[in-house]
Amino acid sequence: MDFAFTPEQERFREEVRAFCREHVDSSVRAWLQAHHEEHDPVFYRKIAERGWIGMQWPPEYGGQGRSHVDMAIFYEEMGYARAPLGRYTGSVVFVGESIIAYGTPEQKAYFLPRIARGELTCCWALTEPGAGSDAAALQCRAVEEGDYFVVTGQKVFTSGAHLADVGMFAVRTDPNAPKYHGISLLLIDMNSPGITLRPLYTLGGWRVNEIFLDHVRVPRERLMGQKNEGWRHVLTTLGFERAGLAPVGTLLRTVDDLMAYLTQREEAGQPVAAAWRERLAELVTEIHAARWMAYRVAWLQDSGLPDLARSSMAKVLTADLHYRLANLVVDVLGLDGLVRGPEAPLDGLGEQLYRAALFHHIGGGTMEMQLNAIALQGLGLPRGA
Amino acid sequence: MDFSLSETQELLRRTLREFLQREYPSRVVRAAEASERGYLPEIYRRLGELGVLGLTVPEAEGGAGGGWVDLAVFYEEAGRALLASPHLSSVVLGGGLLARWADSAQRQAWLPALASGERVLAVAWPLDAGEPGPCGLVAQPAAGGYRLRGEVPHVAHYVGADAVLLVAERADAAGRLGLFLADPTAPGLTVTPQPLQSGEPLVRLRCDDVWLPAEAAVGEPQPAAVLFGPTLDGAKTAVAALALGGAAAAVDMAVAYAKERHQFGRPIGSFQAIQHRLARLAMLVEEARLLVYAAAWQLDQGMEARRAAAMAKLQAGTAFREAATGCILVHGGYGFMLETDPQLYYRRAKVLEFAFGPPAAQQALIAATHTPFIPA
Repeated sequence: MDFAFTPEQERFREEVRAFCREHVDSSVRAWLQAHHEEHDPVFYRKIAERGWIGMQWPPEYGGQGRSHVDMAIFYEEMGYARAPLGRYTGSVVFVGESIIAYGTPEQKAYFLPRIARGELTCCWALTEPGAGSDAAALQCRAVEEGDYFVVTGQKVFTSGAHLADVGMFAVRTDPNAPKYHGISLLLIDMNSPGITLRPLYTLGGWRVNEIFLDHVRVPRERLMGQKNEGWRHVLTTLGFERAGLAPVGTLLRTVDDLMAYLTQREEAGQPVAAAWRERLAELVTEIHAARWMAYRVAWLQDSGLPDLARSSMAKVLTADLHYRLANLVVDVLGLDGLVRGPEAPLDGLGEQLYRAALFHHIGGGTMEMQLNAIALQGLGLPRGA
Repeated sequence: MDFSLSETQELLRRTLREFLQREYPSRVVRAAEASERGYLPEIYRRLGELGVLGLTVPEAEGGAGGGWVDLAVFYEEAGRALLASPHLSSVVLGGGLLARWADSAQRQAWLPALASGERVLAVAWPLDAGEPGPCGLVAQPAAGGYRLRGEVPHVAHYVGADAVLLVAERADAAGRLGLFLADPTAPGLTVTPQPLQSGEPLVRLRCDDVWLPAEAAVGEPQPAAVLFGPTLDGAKTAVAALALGGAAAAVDMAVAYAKERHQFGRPIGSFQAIQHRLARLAMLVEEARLLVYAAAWQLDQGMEARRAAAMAKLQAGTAFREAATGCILVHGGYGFMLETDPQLYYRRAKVLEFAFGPPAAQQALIAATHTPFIPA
């Protein structure tokens, strides 16, 4: 048992930390909020210059051959700095990792180095209006015509589709096969004729998208993995999505901001109720547990023992903590915590966290779906009717 | 980074699991509860023969010279089995303090016997106190020795102990505490039973002008924090591991029952209301496990572990209480009956939340010791 980071890992952490100190400040957050974005192209280029996009990939694909623990360190530091990683996650964790797992050699050679250099970003389009938690109910149709698939249908809640160059789409290639068969994955250029986007704005403030596809022609070589057996691949990708990156860094940051605020208030002669500190202590304890949980998930991946139930646990726990901590911040600040604009304490952190909190309960699979996974895969409970 | 146990630790876990499953089924848990001491000396001695009681005792004194992670493995398994034993008082707290301060004669007289389980040491320390400090006794120098008076509530494992280690303020050394070894039947020592609902026969210990010879003193008077060193953090971590084991066993029991119990023609474990309750409990257990082993590891590294031990105890206490509650609820009416086992966990869970400091004390400590993730 060893809860320590290696000297190399500590050095890497310092490197990321110094980078964030230099490149992330409150103006980055302000710009993102004003533009309803979770992506900052300038910042993204800088990460690419450091070689951190796809850092866990082998060098021949533009990576640094780093471990998942390194990735978790990167995410923790970036999260603590409140750095924008929206496109990073879409391009690297969802699509890039999937290309590694089941892309063709040509797809790997073409896409991965471009993703790693930051030239090309990706989005992951699975959810449809009629296929949310029941994702395999998807209806987006791809018909084979010669060397092309012709795709018609609709996707919804797609993060970053308006910025991405390429989308990884789950589509139905065989409508007559049983539900879990007949699904395939296609890498589709987002500027293809026939694609239109409609913005949807989230409660958290950032934009996601509705995607309409009308006879979009996709070359056959953009098929990923096995035709009609894409559901298996979808599950793998959802695994990456869950295992990746429980957002613990932002929780640590919010705790520190709140602690500093309480101390300031006390120093200004306004006593702080012990109850706030006790509630905060309870959350801090669980945040530490979540932190080790995230590192254990990464360590299990590095050890070749990916564990879906434990990934889901990390996700459910961090989602809970986001919600509970957001509420504590607002409770401590009082109604001022919901004020927007220059009058707002802590730069409006309270109201921003409160609005954004439930994202983690839904994105990447709802809490109920994660709890199902823990119960069925982790505890071996019988499937319901 | 490595979240796995070593081969030796895995072997220890397996050995304990097999021994306790065979020798300590719930029938024996009940027998221990009904017994005078609250634990079964015979079982305790056999654990001594297995060599697990002296895990943290130095090798020179008959122990295994192991660390806190080893102890956490032992306590997690003990917690699973709801093992009642005086080990926490006798070896972790009492033995820990003796190993820190006793002279070589006292060490040789006590530590090997504590490590083997042949003798048991009680400590006049309230079970619900977790921070170094005075606990109610004052020692005054007197002809040829010391005279002690005062009162300590909630003393564990006193009944049947071979000796008691008294923690007393030293009237001759302001702000310092001293340790004294005494015969539990010494004149002037009286006990009032404070039996807990979990079956632990706690006592309130009164010292009425108890005279002890000079050689009863263990070490020199010390400031409280120095006297205890990491001992109380270790005890908290051990309690947390005990609670972790109890929580894990309660969840396992509930999961097993949910798979076999049928209602509406289906196992109740196929209903999401049950599944999600159990999934959340399994999460609490995992949270506790990570914090317990992180604290034990920090202790083994010689790192400051006050905060880590407080976190482990807080979270494991919650996990055990919630898991025991969930276990009863999943069992429905049967869970509320004395003749079934879930109630055994439920009654012990709340006790462990208090052992070595209640939740509020841990929260206050965690809040007071906060340092930013990135130092300013």
